[in-house]
Amino acid sequence: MATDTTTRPAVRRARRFLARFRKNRLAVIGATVLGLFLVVAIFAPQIAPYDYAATNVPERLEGPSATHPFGTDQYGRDIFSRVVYGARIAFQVAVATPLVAMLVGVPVGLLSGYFGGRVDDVLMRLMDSIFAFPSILLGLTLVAIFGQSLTNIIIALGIVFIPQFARITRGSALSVSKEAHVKAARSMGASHARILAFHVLPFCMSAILVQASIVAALAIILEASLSFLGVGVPPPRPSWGAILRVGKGFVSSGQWWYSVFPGLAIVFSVLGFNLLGDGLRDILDPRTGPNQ
Amino acid sequence: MTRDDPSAASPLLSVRDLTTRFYTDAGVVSAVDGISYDLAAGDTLGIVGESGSGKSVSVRSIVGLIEEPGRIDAGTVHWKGTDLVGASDRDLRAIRGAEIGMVFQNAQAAFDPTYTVGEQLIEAVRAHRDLSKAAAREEAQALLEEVGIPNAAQNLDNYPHEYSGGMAQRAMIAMALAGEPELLIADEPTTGLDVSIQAQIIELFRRLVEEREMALILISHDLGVVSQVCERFLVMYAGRIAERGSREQLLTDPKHPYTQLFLESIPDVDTVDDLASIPGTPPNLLEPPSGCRFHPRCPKADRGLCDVDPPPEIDFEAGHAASCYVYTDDYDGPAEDVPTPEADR
Repeated sequence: MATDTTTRPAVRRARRFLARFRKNRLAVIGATVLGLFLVVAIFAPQIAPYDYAATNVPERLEGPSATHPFGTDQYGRDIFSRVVYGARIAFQVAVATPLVAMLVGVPVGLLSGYFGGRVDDVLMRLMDSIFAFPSILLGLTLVAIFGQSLTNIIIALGIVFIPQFARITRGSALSVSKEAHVKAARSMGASHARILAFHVLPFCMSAILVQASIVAALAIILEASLSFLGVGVPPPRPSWGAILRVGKGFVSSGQWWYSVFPGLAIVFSVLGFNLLGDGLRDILDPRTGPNQ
Repeated sequence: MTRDDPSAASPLLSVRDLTTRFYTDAGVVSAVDGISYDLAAGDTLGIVGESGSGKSVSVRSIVGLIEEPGRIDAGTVHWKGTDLVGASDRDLRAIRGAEIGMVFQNAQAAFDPTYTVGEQLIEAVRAHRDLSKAAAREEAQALLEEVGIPNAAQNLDNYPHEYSGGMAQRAMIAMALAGEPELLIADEPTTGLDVSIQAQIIELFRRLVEEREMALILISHDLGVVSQVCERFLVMYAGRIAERGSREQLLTDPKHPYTQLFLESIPDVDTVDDLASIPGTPPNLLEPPSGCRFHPRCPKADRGLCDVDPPPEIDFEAGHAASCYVYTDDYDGPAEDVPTPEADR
């Protein structure tokens, strides 16, 4: 009985979130698109009709057909299968990159916004110095340093996006820290760590989650860009950007399907994350109350 | 050095020459300037004064809740014998909420809107006492009942925004009681509440002080509010104590010109049409007036005396004292230039 009543507020919060989510069209569309991609990524071996690396030279550069819905590349590899497997890479990047960036960026932002003063100055100038590099250039450099692999790309992109999370978190933490309930918690004897974790971080979460979905989209684009530039996930693993890179050479000779389908995959996955992010921003503001 | 209560051998709280300044970009603000007082266990002390007189800062200084760019520059705050000025955050935290509870104005904002009142009360109870979740919940419910919140069990699961202003203030008081404090500091607890709710909250304080035998510091700009609960008063003006004494001493025989004017400016039914006010505005604490900080607005100010050095504290009867030159031999009566609202500009 006692546990039942103490968990109730949390359950109520979850229910309220779901109710608001369902009412938000952007979020629902975004989540649906991403859901489809996720299913494709998880069940890639079942969905892909061919091995993504299997060459079949007699059927090279064939247009879309019943046997090859997205056509074939110059080695006769099935582009549909390659795009399906590419979803795995894209999703690993999209999920892991924000996590890596948050791991550092969120604590930095919390400390910066809550303590302010010199702590803020030092941490934010540090973030600015990362921000000063164009993200592609920084990603490129870091991958060059770490070496070309999926894990290293995720770490490199994670570092690229640390300042974004630090800034977003700092902004929210700064305003929440000035609020009466934080001061009241201090007067109740709560420690800084406790206040940050329980009374400041929850207010930053909505902004952080929205940022995470935007960064997920950016990470897909950036990974595709790195692959396009030839420093992405090493072949033969089929990154969408890598397919595009080779495919672009065949656009002028009429093999449009080579680059259009991976391109569309990038567009829709990025769109899905952006829509979800916009929807989440509307849903997740703790101050808008339960009747919104 | 016993100032107020000669009978108290070792007071619960002993503040000496407390000076808190804010180092702002515009300059140094002396919010609290060398105040001293004692508080014995079970005492009820009211601190009254206009906004900006240093009431809040003086009590926040006690528990180390002064924020940047503020700093305690001098003085001591002895709580049960140990000096809290310069104490570590860890030591102060152990006192805050546990031995000294605090209640603020605008209680609704003092609750985190993302948790229910119950969750926060349980957190407060468990922060200071080693209780299981279920036991803490029972304790939280008992606290809500103690402060007079109806349907305590259901209201535990409500969010702060679902509480009315009066209920939120009661809940805030319950929160402050969670650590079973020996001293409760209430900073303008009734400001912003309507008059009938104010009276209920005042009544609640009276009952709690009696039942729990705890000391109370009640801060208000409203002498009426304070006089219903507190036995002893401090009147603050511009960061200094103008006058101190018992309720009877101050209400029937105020000595400091500021206290006298302060009392006259309280509206009552008969004087509603002709409300007295104190001429001038509270001083700018970036550049406080020399001498007695009230002299630019004081009808009894003696130029050449009151505007030179801070006035000495003159003792009258037991516990009643005022910092004013009027009661010294050097005083020659008010100067020719009667203060006008422009006098301190």
